Amino acid sequence: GDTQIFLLWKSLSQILSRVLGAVKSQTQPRTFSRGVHTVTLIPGDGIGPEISTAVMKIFEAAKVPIQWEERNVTAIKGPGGKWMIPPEAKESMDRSKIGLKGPLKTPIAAGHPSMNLLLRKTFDLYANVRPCVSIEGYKTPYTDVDLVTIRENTEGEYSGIEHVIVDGVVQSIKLITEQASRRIAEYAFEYARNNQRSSVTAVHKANIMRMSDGLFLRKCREVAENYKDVKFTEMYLDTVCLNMVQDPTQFDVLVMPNLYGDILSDLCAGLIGGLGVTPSGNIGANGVAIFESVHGTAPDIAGKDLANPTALLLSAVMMLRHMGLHADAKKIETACYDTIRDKKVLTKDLGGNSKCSEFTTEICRRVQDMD
Amino acid sequence: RYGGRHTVTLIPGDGIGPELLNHVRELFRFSCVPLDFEVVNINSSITSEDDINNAITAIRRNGVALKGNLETNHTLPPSHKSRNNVLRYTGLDLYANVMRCQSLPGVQTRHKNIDIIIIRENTEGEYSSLEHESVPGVVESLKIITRNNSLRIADYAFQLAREKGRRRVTAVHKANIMKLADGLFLQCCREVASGYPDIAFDSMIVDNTTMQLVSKPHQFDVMVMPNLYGNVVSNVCAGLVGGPGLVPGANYGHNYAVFETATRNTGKSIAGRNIANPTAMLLASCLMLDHLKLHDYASMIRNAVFATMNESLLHTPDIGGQGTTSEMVQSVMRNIKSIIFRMLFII
Repeated sequence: GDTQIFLLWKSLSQILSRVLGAVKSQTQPRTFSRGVHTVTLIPGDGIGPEISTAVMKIFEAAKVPIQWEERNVTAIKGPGGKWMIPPEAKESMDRSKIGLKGPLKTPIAAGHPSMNLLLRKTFDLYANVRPCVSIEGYKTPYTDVDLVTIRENTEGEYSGIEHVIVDGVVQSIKLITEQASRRIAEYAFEYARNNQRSSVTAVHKANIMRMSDGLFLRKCREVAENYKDVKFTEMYLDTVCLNMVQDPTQFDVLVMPNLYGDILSDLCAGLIGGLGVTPSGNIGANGVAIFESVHGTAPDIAGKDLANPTALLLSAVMMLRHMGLHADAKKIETACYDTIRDKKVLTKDLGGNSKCSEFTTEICRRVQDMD
Repeated sequence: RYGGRHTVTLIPGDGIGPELLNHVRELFRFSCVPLDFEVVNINSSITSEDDINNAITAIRRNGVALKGNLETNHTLPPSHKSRNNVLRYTGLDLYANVMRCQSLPGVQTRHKNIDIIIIRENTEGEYSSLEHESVPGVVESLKIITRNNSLRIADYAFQLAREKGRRRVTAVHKANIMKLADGLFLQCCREVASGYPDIAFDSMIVDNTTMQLVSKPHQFDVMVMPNLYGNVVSNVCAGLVGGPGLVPGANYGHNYAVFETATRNTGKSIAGRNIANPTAMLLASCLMLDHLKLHDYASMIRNAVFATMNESLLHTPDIGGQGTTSEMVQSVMRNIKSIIFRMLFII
């Protein structure tokens, strides 16, 4: 009776998820093997435009089959008074599905939410992915770092739901849902599989937040069952932090809810040299993916040809890999790493005194030499 | 204190707790410390509430406790709260968790000469254990920040900074996102800071803080923060100075104090193998002796531990050595003997 119904339901849902899995190709690398592909480019503010130009130059030198569609994102008020991104930007992204974005300035008291938040909500960017790889030639106390942080980006501690209970007592709500937890876990395992990573570690504090992190952990465990080829482990957030600063080489792919992801992804960026050299990608529903540099707009050096385009360039390389253009990605990445390792043409933040344009030209030269 | 001797509650806990605390007892006996331990055996296998209440009563009676970590079985239902937390705040209001992360010259680390004091609010924030499933598949967890507790911990931080001759207090927060909760915490810190014009005050967002800690840790002096960020930052800092085996921790309330290792690890995998690093627990016992105003004993044992770590270089495996726990403790005892002989010589 009941058992039969349960088993029937279970097999139906398995069939359904397999069918949906085949349709949901957003996590599979898409092979863009022919033709020119459109990418929405959002240069951003401050040093954004100059580093975007640098990336475009390098891509041109490497003859990457990409056509850039530049768009601006400034918050505008739509019908009904709701803040939104300009319709041209949304239309371009919906069509191209792939975006590359420079830093956007966060206005204080501008009356509208941050642009990053708007973009996240518009495209349901649920996964923030940061590969952290030690850069040979840019020395930090940590060598051989090679890990990826995958952060749930829509809920958790950042729901923005806060109340004043009584005067002097504030409550902030952390929201964890089954759906979002499963979705991020699935993305993490798919990523691990598609990028030949051997293990996924769920980071949590279920000893303290028994129900919320407990739910997150359960979903990770469930998804792990379908990916027996990838090793699954669990670790407390504090243990991860403790071990990360002693021996980061023990970590591979890390998946976690929003706040822990925010902290850990920045911690890991610090290990390899900071936000100026760390790439980042945001994966959304419906196949949209936006890659971005996560450093600030650096208004003090904007327009002076002093900026370091490495972060945006490595994010663009990540984008190429997402699109399946692995050869182009490897070429540009190697040229960038070689330039940094050589130490002859480096921007100020990397320890040199070359201009952004000189750094860019050097990478272009190496790219062209490779052909 | 009775008859010239103090009594302190001892909670062995799980994992490496029992063996390390046995070494503490051994060392205290050897050094003739005028202190008796009242052992309260609670561990993760005991499930009754009475045992926990007895432990709390024992700590209240003695005022001071030294404890190992209690493991939390998080597969049990949420009503089964973390035992460590129950001890910490439910009964005893141990509102300040204090940890001093100091580099030991004899220990190999990537960063040298770190000396950061971390003060973590120990009773509220994300550890309020208030969770519910409002709709199936949707869980809400409440983080509570109150003005009273924020003012209290900020005041503790500034008082301690002043007492120890420190120059700057940094508040760690995420008020750009959690505007009301962390905003309140930050505001309270600022209010308290204005009453301490001799001490500089600044603030930093928690994700930037961790990034700065692994690249430029020397910019930090004293740090104060709510519960969860305290957990993260203290573990990062412990890792920076050499790991969980080295750093002692203290939990202070108005009336009670409980001492333990700073990163609160049970060390399950190394229990019973005589390889655990006793440094953190030994230094925690010294913090306890200082609290009891037995400063001479505290200094003697602390200096002996430092001599073992920095001069004899007898290290356990967690910091790259080959020594066993007992070898290290023996070395500390030898150093205590030579400290005493040196003192006698001077007299």
